[in-house]
Amino acid sequence: MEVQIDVVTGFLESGKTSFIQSLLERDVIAAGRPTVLLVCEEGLEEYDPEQLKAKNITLVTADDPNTLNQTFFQNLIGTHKPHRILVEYNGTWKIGSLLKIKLPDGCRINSIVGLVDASTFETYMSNMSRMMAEQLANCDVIFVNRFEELEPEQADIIRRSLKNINRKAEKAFFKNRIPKNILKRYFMIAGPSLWKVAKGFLVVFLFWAVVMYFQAVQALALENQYTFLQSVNTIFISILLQAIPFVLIGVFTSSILQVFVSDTLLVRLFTKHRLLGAPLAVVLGVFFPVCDCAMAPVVARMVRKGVPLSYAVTFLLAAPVVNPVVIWSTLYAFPGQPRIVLLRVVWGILVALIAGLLIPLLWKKGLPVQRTIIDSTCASGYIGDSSSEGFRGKLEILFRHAGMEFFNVGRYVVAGALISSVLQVLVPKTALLGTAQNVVLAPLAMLVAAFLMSVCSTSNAFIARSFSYTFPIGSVLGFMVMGPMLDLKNLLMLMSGFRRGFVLRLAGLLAVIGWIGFVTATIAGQGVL
Amino acid sequence: MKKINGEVLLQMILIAVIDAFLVGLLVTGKVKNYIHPRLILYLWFAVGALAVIALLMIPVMLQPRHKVSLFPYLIFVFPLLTGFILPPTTDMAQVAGIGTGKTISSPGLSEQAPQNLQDTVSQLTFPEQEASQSSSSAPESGESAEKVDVPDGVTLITDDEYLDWYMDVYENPEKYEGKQYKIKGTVFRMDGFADNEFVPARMAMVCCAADLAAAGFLCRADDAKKWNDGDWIWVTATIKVEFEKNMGETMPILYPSSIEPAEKPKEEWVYPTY
Repeated sequence: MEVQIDVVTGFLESGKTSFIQSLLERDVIAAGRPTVLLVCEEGLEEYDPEQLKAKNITLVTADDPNTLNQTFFQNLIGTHKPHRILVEYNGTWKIGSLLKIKLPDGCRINSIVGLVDASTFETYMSNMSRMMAEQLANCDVIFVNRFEELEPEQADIIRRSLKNINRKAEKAFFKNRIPKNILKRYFMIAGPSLWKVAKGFLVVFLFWAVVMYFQAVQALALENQYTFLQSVNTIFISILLQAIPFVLIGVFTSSILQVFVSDTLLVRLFTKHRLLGAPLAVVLGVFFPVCDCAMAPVVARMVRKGVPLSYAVTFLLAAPVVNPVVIWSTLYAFPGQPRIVLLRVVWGILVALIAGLLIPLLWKKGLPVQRTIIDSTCASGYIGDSSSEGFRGKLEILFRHAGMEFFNVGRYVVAGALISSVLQVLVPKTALLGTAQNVVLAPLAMLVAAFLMSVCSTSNAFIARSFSYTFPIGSVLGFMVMGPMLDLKNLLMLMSGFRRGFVLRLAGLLAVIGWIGFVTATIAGQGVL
Repeated sequence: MKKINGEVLLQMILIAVIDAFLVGLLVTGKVKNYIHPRLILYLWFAVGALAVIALLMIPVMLQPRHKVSLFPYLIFVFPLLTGFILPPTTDMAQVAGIGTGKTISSPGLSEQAPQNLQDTVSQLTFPEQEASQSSSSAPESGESAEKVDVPDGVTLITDDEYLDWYMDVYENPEKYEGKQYKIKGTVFRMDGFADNEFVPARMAMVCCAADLAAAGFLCRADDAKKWNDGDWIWVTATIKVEFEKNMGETMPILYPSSIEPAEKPKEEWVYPTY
């Protein structure tokens, strides 16, 4: 028979009993067919036996998580034949134990609802984060109450912590009664999930269609289309191949910072002497000779750990420029013209410093990536406990964390690479050439080209070289300097760690600085070079 | 069936497929069609790191999770799909630039600046203008077993030497005035070339296929028209340093004494080392 299991969980005193009682009173749990109320926690409040009887609800208690197993549920269902089992779960038991149970046929867990008392959240989280996180990570919805006393900022911190633990769950803050329609959404007896089946079919169909399309293009020898696809794909895969190792380096570095380096150490490094922060941010880049793909996860981590935003941004922008490999490659691309190399580095540092200085003016709404109360969970999501303690345990967490971040960032890398390769093949360079002589438009054209071409800062120099025959040197310098800062793929990667509004503002700021800066350079260059 | 975390399982599967794909490319050497050889070591690191991550994920996978979402992982399947299905293009012309005119004299570029040739040809050019489909020349038959006839007084430039030779001639053209060389390249033309002009070029890759650029010198030959874009040829030529009026620069130009068909080399791209 079909039995739906709905679970209400939350720490002691989070209001589970009153919540369930209100579900009964408001008829969200309708009377009629038999229901079993499985209570796993003895709280201060108790259920009214009359009310339960009236609604055909049988109360069953469980004191020990070990009693909950397949046999238990089989007996429960056999005895009472409920159409629903409503569980008031114990806030100190693992939800995982419940999820592991092989339930009898037709029996499935529908909703897991979490209740959070805002006034005690921070305390509990500091002391018992693992326990709470495990439960909250598995919820479909989290209702937060008793937050009237809090500052709006504190409420925000709670919201973000919850988001870090469980990105998908709906987080709802309600002072008074929770609207009935929202409750019904979770407690309704669900029919067969047609939507899920449909989604499954859609995915399979999409696959089949894509494969068929490729085969057809190949078979029919549709030259132009096939050529186009092949070129785009070659560039697409090549960008990804080149990026994979560096993305991994980036997420590992970020994870190392998360697991092994304390927040205070990192922050102190930057803020000890007032004037040291910005230059340090620039110099740090020298020790980071990696492709700019590695930067986004690391910088997001730094900001999360409390490094002041302007230093983090300066580091992000300066690193691709002061990178020794990049300097060397620029020398190689412009042989006999060390002046250009010097200009690239100087301008790059300048733009990085200015952008770093100005960005706090554009982003005042607190950190673009909120710090959280919890240490063991972070924005990548809850990753489970490690099987061993100490260094080995930390190492495990390190790798899993890196893996999680790899997938988070990875989707942006794929998207960026795809868009970039299509544009690179599609857009004829001749489109830009008309602007070559115009002192104001040439730098703009170079910025646009830099944005569209998501190549790493090493290749960047060689492509700049080819532009240097038609475009004024000042604008080409703009291409080299702004390329790694402003390109499509990197901006998308930043979105994986930072809020979208922040990334857009940063991009806008860079575009403006870039344009003004390199129009100046172009004008100056006309005379000098 | 034991209950597990479906999302983590999918992640492990994705990692396995990615690693398989990478190892396949690395072992067959096909990876060099996509990226510069210096990155090969990095990719092996990636293969290893991903494998360790997947292994350490096993305990997490065994812990069931309520309502996982698999949809967002679709985007990872896409490149794996296209990567397996579509072979990399090794046709230089293809990568060098689709979407622009392929004729030798091209209309519609009148919005141009005074210069006729958009990019110079004797330095690394941005792959932008070649679009003609090539009829690929001699079929590939084994490795460097190709017999090459080198007449007296002519120096043969091998694939490995090409880039260094090219850079040196470019930087110190006077040193090479009047010397004769035999080089292998593929026919490459750009808009604005005269009928007797083309470039016997090799495509150079700095980092990845996205930055491929043609490296070669302008070549003027009477029988130029008989060679199609993309044909692989041996060019035996004398270097003359001249002023090229379209580019407004003095640069080395090749005047061939003979042009013969060549076998497509096993590794088509050349890789600058720096």
